[in-house]
Amino acid sequence: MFTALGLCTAVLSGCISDSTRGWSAPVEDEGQQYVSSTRGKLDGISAATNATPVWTGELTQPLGQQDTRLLSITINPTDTPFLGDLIQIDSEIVRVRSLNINGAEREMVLDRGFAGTVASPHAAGAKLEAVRRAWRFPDDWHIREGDARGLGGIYATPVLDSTGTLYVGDYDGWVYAFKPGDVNLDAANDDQEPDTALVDLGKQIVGGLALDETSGRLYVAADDTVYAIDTNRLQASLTAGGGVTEPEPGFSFSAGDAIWGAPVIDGDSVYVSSLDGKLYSLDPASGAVNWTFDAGRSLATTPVLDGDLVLVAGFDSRLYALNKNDGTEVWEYIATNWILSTPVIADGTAYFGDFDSILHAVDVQSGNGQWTIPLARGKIRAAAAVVDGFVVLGTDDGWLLGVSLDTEALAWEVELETDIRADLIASSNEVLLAPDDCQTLPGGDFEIYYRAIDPSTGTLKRVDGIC
Amino acid sequence: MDIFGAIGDFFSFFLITPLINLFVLLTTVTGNAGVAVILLTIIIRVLTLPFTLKQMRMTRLMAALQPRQQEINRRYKDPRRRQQEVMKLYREAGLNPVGCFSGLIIQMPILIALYRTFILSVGEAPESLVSLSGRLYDWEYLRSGLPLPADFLWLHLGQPDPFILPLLVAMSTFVLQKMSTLPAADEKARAQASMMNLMMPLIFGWITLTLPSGLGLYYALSNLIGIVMQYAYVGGGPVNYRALLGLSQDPVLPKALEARERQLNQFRSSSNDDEEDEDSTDDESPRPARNRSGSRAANTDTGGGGRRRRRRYGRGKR
Repeated sequence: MFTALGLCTAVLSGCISDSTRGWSAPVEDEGQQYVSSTRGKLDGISAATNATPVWTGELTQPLGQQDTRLLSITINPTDTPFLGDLIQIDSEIVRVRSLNINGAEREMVLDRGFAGTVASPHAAGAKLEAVRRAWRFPDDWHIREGDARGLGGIYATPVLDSTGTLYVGDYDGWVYAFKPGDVNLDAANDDQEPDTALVDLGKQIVGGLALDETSGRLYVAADDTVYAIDTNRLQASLTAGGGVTEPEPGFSFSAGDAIWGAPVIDGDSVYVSSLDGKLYSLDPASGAVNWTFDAGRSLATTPVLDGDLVLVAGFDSRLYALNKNDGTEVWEYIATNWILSTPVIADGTAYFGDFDSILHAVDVQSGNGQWTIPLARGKIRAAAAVVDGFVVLGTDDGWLLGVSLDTEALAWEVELETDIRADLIASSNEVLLAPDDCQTLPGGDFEIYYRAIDPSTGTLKRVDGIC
Repeated sequence: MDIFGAIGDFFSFFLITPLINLFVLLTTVTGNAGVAVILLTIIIRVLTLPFTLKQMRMTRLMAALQPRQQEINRRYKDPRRRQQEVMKLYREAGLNPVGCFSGLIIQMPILIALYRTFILSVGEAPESLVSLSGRLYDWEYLRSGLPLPADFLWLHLGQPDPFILPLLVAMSTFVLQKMSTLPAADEKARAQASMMNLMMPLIFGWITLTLPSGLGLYYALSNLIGIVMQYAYVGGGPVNYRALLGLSQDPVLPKALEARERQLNQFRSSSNDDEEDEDSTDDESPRPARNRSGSRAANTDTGGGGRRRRRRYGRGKR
């Protein structure tokens, strides 16, 4: 009886734990999109379905409307199709469900009728173009250096430098630096793992990373501390084949509580917000405090700069605008609930959502509210994206919403089956997102991962086939 | 909605959400999550006091009936008949076996709800706070205290403690168990009790290693209160530290034996009264003989109950 009670406690406590994964924003760079997860996964995804295909081919027989059938297709023999590859046939996107390799010919079962397209007939000879997730760390390779075992949950958005090095911080306190271009998933090649430099900070990295390539410093907010790490040491380690590097930070600055926003670099200052209620302006070289602003309640958003102002918000439902030179308060705007959505500034207006599901538009110079729109959906934690005259938001209960700046009204809304907590990113004519989970789309019996949508309609533009 | 979803919603609405709000309120008022855990433990202990007292009473009665149960086990080889006689004995004594675990049964959902409470309220990960906001009642004062301070002494209440707290949980579980159990009548039962007294603290200590230390703190405090209640329940008296350390087979609380005897005698006298009532209406049954002391229950450790009861068992055996 006692044993059963004890074991039940253990089992149930495991079963009812939270399983969020989307918290950090997606990062895109030259054909690759990096999506990280609080469950300790980092995906390198081919950036677009119309990007350079991983393989091409053509239908050797016609594909009828609404068919889901075994197809025999011819592909480029130099490339290998993977399960889950997404194939574009004319305007339709299908997915490889199973494979049978037979010399140069590949027989494969294709899933059809998803991604917002209507299954349509295709003639024999139709061209095929396939894209796929490039890799997943640590599924495709593992790093066992020092105490690093796999990858911890990722809350901080990774950063890329101009040399193609990706810096990733995890919840276990490790910073990883590697070049995604060095990942080699060729099965015949044992050396899949890119050389990786590691630094153990020993504290949960939640807030974020900020890179100053000029000074060669990577600022990492880990728990309540900001570390300034010399990236030259990491690059030297990479050149030498990678491995664990002692952090030896240029400085470390400790706030009074955890830091949930990313550090922001601006010339002579690094701005850091903290749950201790303070916004700090630090000297980027020494870590000395230039000034401190005390809001009295926890600050949680990443500071945002606009001209001489720095904007920050948090748990007291207020958006503060401070003079970035001395930290004096210029104005404050009061919402009705927590503000954890980092403001996005476009054309002199700051847009952000709050936990009452209200979108606020505030004039940055005066602090006057221009308009608010009650969206009547879930809590808004993700930063909005402003693209092509639309403010796009994601809510904690899985709604994507588009507000037209022309009409200052809700233009469209799309419900996903999963929460949206990671910041939305404005990209060229589209919005990148990292939802909490995959979902099944109407007309398909498998799951896909939303990666990009059209800001004017909310329709899906890009997906990842592997969940 | 499926049945599991409905149960989950019910559990969440009536237990998890109220506990979360109570914990947030206590922490906001006191400004210290550790103090809030202490207050929460006391409140829960007071609310579950009827179950705890029932468990203590039933456990004591179960121990008092042990010799007679062994007598039944010796006399009846047929498991079904043995079961019937044991249940009859329980019925006569007013013992509900489930009552022995009533305190533990009520603790299970509370422990699970508290796990959720600490994960959401003082968990380090930011998403827990987002989830927490959806659980709070519509009262601005509750939101005003968030995020909650999670540190107490050496503990972060949202994270497991790797050493001291599991040790405290294991030790307090061990002491509470030793104080709650009386020496078993036979060697087999004694071995089983010894095994339980060792295994349970180890299991709970091990579980504490993986759970938020707020839950471990609650459990250790709850055990501490249980130890004090157990001591008071038997009427205080000296503590046999040799028995506590396993160096003696005597009870840890010698007064517990007296309490057991009292309870057994109460049962005997009440059952004798019942039998006398039966005898007065049953002309064919011989009246049971009294022993020298006038009691029909002198032989307490051999099943007792007087000749009539032994004869009844004898008939059963034939």
